[in-house]
Amino acid sequence: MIRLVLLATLAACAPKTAPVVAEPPPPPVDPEAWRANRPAAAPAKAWTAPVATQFTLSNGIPVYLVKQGDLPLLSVRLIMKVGRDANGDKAGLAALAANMLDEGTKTRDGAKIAADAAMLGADLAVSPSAESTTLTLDALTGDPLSPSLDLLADVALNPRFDKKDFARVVDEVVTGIVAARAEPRDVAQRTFLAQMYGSKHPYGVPTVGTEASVKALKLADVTRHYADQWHAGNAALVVAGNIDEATLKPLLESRFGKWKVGKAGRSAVTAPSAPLKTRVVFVEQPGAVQSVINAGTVAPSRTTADYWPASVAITLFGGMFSSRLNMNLREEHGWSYGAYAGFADARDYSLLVARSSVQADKTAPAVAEVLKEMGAQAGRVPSPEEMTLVRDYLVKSLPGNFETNASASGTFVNLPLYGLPGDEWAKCGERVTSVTAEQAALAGKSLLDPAKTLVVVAGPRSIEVDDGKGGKTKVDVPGELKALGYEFVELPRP
Amino acid sequence: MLLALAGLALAADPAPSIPFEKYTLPNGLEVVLSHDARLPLVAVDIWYHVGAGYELPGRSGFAHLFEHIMFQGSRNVPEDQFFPILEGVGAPFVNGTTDFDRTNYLETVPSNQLELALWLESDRMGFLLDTLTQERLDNQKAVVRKERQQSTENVPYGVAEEQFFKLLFPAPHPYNGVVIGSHQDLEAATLDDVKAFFRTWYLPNNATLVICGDFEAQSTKALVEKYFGSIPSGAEPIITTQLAPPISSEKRLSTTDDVELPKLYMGWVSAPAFKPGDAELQLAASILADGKSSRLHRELVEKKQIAQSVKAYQYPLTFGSVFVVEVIGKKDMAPARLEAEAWAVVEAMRKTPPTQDELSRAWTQTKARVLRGLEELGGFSGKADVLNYYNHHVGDPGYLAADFARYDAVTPEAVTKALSEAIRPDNRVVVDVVPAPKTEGGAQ
Repeated sequence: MIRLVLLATLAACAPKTAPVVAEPPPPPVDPEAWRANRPAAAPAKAWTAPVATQFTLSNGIPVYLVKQGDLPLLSVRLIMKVGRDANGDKAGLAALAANMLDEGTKTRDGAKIAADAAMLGADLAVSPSAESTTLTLDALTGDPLSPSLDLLADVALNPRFDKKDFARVVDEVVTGIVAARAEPRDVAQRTFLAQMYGSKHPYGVPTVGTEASVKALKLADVTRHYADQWHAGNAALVVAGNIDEATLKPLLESRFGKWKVGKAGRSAVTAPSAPLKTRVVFVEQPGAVQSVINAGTVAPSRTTADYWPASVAITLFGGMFSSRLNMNLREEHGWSYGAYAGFADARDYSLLVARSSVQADKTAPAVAEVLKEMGAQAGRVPSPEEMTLVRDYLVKSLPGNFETNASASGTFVNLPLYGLPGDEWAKCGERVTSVTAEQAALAGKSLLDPAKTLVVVAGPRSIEVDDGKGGKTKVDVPGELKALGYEFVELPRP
Repeated sequence: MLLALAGLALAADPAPSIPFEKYTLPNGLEVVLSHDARLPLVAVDIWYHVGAGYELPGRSGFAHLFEHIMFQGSRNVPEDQFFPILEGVGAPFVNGTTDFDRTNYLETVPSNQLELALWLESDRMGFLLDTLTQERLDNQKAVVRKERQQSTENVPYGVAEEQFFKLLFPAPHPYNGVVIGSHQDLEAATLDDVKAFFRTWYLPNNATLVICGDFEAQSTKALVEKYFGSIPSGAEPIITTQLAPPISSEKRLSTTDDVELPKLYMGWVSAPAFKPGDAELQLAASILADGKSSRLHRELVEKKQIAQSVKAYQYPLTFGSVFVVEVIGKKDMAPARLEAEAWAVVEAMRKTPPTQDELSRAWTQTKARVLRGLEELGGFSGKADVLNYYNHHVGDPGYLAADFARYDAVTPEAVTKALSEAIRPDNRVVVDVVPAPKTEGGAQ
């Protein structure tokens, strides 16, 4: 202690002149060297995803309310558990019925529905999908809310199904199906479904149907479908926004509470079976400069215990930018602008599909890489770093699902659809975090098995490339696909 | 009556205001802070005040190629790690986009990772060139070529749309073509070009950093100073782009594509963003083609049933906006018929003002959509980008209320005046596409 004081005194007394012997100058210090260290995270704030408040209307319609936000906005979704399964042999029926709803009610024609919505600052949309049909109302709260909800209820409950509207809408839908043939993505998707399920299966055709199936639909089919399927027993409401239960409940009860409960429930559909061996299907897309690849197989349903382990495995394979699939096709080979894989969630089973658009002359090599990457990832136990990455990716990004009322209500739609509990999202972090590397490996093993994978390619038959000697040469796309050595078939355009 | 009243009540509402604080670092970097702690998220949104509209002839696609390189790594951020690092902390949104007037980089991150986002952004603002090699440049050229294929060449009508913009903005105007540029120009980009572009435009004094979300102001200011304060400013960039010249006589082009349905484009170079006529034309476009109550939809899709879909928009740009009417026809419909019928609808509003109801609907709907955009911190219509948008164009991040007032003041007569003055047969560009194997377009 004393010694320290002495030294300090001596230092203070030292003459302020330059030392006699010059020391070598210190090496220049990079004043920015500190940037080499990536900053650590600050302590995370405790946050849990909202739990939906549940109540029912007097006729039993379940309502899920997510109270959030401070802007005068509300997102209301009327979810009907009516989708392709209710089509029977009339592909496109459920979607056509849905598309007729905003064409006119008993008291408003289609233009008036749109005009009323616009004047209220509301967006009203009908979205038919594979297993459900959703009417979405994004409305302003305050004075415009009541008339906005009137509009939603009017469209859902009082469709006029006018004959002239019907003929026009059929033509629009058919023309839309025809127009989509110019899009290789649509062609690949259509072919993939037909090959996976078989074209007689209600899921073997996209929600919208085929040109022939929609042309064959009659107005009576639509009115019968609506009368059977659109009833309170098939309905649920999900609401997100700045409103409390006491205010919301009477608003919904007065509009939807008297809706009758009908008989029809969901129709059973046969589950597809996974392919027994790798199968490559080519469909020509004239003029395309890229080929669209869909590769996939049958996956667990949204409700099975396997769902989260499978999600972890598939996210590592193709759910992120830094997933193997994208790194391979985009970064390592430079053949694609992006490549991703994910589930099409469904009640009884699901599909896993990997998708990419690749430069056409690299179609066959890209298919080979997709299958190779699947094989390499199938059953591989992820490293601890990968498990941390995927958990953080899936869990820490969750607040992003609740930024907008529309995204919050969209996030909660799967509660009524799959019968999940109100705290599904609050518990999501726990469920993902509890997945072990071994469980993920096991779930990935059967999903990523190239031998159970169906590959569909929509692309040009041949494409010209530089031959490296100053000339041009043609790549025979189906020829190269066939030469990969898997079961191969070329099919006509759907 | 009830509906009309509700609409009017909304129209009379004051515009939402976004609280913010703006200041400038000594090196010229503008900083805008906006607090919102609803969720444990924070959006970091940097606008560099350079876009494809600042490019030199023969260097199309440069600004966009550069945006790609910004994700490739910098002195302290390893190659190809920008996305993985952010994905790994659970960032719900990461993106960058290039437009004609600006380039933006946005990420929304968990609020406890704000410093990470500032580290990433400051490293590429200050230390990008240290690690930029020919190999990295070539790699990104290849990726951009794939993006061009996917977004322009392999989508129906994509090539026609590019031709359409070329006719609207003849070379050497840099709005010529698509933001993504041509294959040829992309190939020609050298490492030196890219470095010069960075040194000219990617300066703290040519950028604005918006931080919006859950953060603490004092410590955030200290972090901004720590990460951005020592990045040297550069010479104030000189913008040579001029206002697009008016089109003096009608230009027409017929093209073919591997499509099933014919399509018609009619376009005009119109009032620049925020200049007189801009708001009027935005509302005119909405009255013409926004939704099933719009005029073109009712006339062409519902009544005459010659069109599958219609679209109209005013794309606001600094050096000349674009006013566009698009019609996708029913199968085998002659483009001439689509043109005549669509023009008749536009012509009617050039002569007779729309009803007050039509105008109120268009504005109320637009306003509600802006409001819904503000639910988000980041993203392309979120609060951070709105603050940056107004700051870029009018120098005031808080211009939202004034902007709403600009639209509130539009009358039906003003819509018709704007249309009749700017949207004429003699200054338009008409491009049509008919189904047949793709060509690069016929003669003008």
